[in-house]
Amino acid sequence: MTDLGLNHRRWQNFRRNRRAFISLIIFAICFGLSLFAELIANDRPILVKYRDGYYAPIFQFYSEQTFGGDLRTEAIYGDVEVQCLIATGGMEACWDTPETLIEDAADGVIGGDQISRGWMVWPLIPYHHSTIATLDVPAPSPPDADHWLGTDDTARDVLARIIYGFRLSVLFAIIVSVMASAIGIFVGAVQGYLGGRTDLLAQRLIEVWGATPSLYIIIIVSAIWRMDFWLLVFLMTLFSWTALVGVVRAEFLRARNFEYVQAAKALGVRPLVIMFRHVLPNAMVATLTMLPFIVTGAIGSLAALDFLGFGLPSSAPSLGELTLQAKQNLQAPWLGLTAFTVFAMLLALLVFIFEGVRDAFDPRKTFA
Amino acid sequence: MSAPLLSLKNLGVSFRRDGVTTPAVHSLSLDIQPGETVALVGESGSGKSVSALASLGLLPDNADQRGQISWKGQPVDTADEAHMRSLRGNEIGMIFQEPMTSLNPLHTIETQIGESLRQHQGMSMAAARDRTVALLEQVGIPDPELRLGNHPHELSGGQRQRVMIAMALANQPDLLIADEPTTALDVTIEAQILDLLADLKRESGLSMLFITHDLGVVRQIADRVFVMRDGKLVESGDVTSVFTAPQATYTRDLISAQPDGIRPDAPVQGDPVLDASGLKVHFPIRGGLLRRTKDWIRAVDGVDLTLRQGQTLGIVGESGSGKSTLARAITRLVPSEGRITLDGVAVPNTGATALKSFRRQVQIVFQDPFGALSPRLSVGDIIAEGLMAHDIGTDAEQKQAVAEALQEVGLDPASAGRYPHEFSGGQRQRIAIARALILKPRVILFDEPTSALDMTVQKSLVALLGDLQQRHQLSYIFISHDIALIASISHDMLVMKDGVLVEQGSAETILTRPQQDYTRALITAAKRKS
Repeated sequence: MTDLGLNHRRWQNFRRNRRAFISLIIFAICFGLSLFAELIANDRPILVKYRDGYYAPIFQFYSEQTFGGDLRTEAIYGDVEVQCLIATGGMEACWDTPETLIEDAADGVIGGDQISRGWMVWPLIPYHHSTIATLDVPAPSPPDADHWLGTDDTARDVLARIIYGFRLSVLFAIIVSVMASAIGIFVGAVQGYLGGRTDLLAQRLIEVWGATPSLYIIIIVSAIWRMDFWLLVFLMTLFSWTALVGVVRAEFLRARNFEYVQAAKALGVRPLVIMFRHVLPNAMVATLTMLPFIVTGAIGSLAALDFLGFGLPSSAPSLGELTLQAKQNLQAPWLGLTAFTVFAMLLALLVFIFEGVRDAFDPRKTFA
Repeated sequence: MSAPLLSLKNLGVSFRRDGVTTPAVHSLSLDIQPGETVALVGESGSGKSVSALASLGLLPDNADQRGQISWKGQPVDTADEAHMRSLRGNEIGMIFQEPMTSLNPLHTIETQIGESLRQHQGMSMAAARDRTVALLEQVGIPDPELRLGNHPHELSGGQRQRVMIAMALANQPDLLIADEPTTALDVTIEAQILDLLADLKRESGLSMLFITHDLGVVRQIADRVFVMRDGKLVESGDVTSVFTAPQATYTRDLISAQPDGIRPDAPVQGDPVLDASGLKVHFPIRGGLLRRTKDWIRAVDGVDLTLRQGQTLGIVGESGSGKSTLARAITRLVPSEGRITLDGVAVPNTGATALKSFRRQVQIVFQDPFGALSPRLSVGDIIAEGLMAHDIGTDAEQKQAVAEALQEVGLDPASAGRYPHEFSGGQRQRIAIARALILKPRVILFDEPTSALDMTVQKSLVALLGDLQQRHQLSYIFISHDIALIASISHDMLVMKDGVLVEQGSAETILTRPQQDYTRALITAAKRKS
């Protein structure tokens, strides 16, 4: 099996598993869309035409003065006055009767005068995850035409929050998994390859490390520093890299006596080169089998920390925080149902995908 | 003449995989008469084992079987599972190559033999026990009563194979099918097992279908021979006529591929290149609460050897003699005690940097052609590795050197971009030799380089090694279990047993005037085959 042929066969095996393949497609679409969350759910328009210029407020800061207003702060595009200014090309009268002016401006003529008619292209969901909407009813408000999944108890759009929250969870899980795997593989490789005293010492250290209660450490750290995304990534990585060490170490212990490894040694190849060029590929399959547990574990841990209030600040769009709100607002079932559905789908998709990956890498199935 | 015991007519087998059908056996016909031993000989891939499995209906599900099989004149439907089960183990016994994997490691000898007695003959526990003891006695296991409670790992390889034979004989079959029963055994043990099978045949008129790649075994045991190649029958006839007057070229090649005689060119007294004295490799046995070292396994226990320029030093030993450990100690792959000098300069014991120049001078080629090449690197990358490790040459120069090395071992330089799995066992071993050659070493160690290969391939590989030795004035240390092979290629020989040297001297002296009983036993076992 060449690498090419082998990987091709694995891909064929994966595709044959319909459930995993469909899960992968759905997940890829969801994640791909969520990467462009700013263009889907935002309280700034994607494109503004004002007088003769075009503006892209999502990517750049424009003060209200840019559109003929008074304030030097960023224009609030949701305000009817600002909308009027843009539609009419900056008419003073917007401060008095914005609604009628906007209606008037539709045909490009106001009071017989030709005006420079402007327009805005809004994202599908005109709310950012941090936008606090103006509501006619007390928050949390139930789903309606404006807020498709309702709002939470600070009047933020739930749909916007789960789009951003989905992205945050998945990115968090991917970053933690990649970093934890890199460290775990390196440590496992060194342990397994060198063996002996190094191995013994590192094993004991890892046992002690693995027994450290990570939750308490995170609570202590969050009491000292303000928690943010990268600090949490760092803390999670600190406690999840040990998962991989065992399997990688075992593979290295096995492979270091392979004849081609011995042959490389006899050629005078440096240990580090032997480890990564000859032995590591053997450990990759075992690593891939472990990876799903790390990824789903990271998503679960982030949600749990947010739910307990030790995770990201409550302004961050977090699925765990949504769950916490659901618990505090039992009268608003749309919060709980949404959080549950998103979690169930996300974890189920990942589990199905990784199940397919694992089967595709199973040598018995690869060569069947 | 009565009806043959087993008769195959136009047996054909092919395997289906991924929609591709690969033929394994093409219309094979053979008869086995009562009391006769028939040998099916061929190299790997010749379809000999598949034919035997087909006649027992033991082929995997993806195999297609054609042709007719009859047992005692009655046609047999191999698809009829119930009928086949009554034949197998009851009327036809079977022994396999690996006694360790064919016996269940979790059950005692008594359970394993007694099981089939109770199943097929409905014997009581006590009767089965008596019969088991009798069987073990028959296959030559000493103190059979005491052995009943043993597990397979408590027996030696030869004893395990005897237990396998006892199991096969348990229900007094008329035919015994033996698939390479002695291949995994040392030559001295092999000789004992072959004697046992010959005795059984004489005493009970047992018929045998003997499958092997080893012509030497065939000559000792068979009445008639069928030579197979690529699933086709090449030649058949009684043993003496096939061996004395082979008709097919392939049979002639097979017979001439058997190593014999001693190396013709007289030893030149070259300068010593590599010298080892008092070489010891001891592995600790740890035990107890604090894992203190209780004892040592003395894998190599004080070996002295001298390798001279341009010569081949052969080392013979059976499994467990420490010969492979010795090779790894000489190449500094395992820590050892004792002194090694290369061109009179002492070689440091460890340290990658300190050993760097030594690694350029001394190379090693291993036994397993499948395990010795990384499956994930291209052949070009595998061969160039030594150059990269020592930073020799630019990319283009390395490519050139790889092409030359491939050419030197008789492979197409264009194959540098291919991967190891695309090559046969013999070709892979050539790749391994090219990898060793590229650093232009002075000494190459060969650890059983041909024992996983077919005889004809072994012959061409040995010829290649002789060529290379002459061209580059290389010095070889060649390790093998096969004393005939060692004698045919070495100038000097060492005989190893249990980690120590039993005997050493020129190949001629050892072969003609062995001093030690052990050497004599090895030579006798080898001579019986030729």
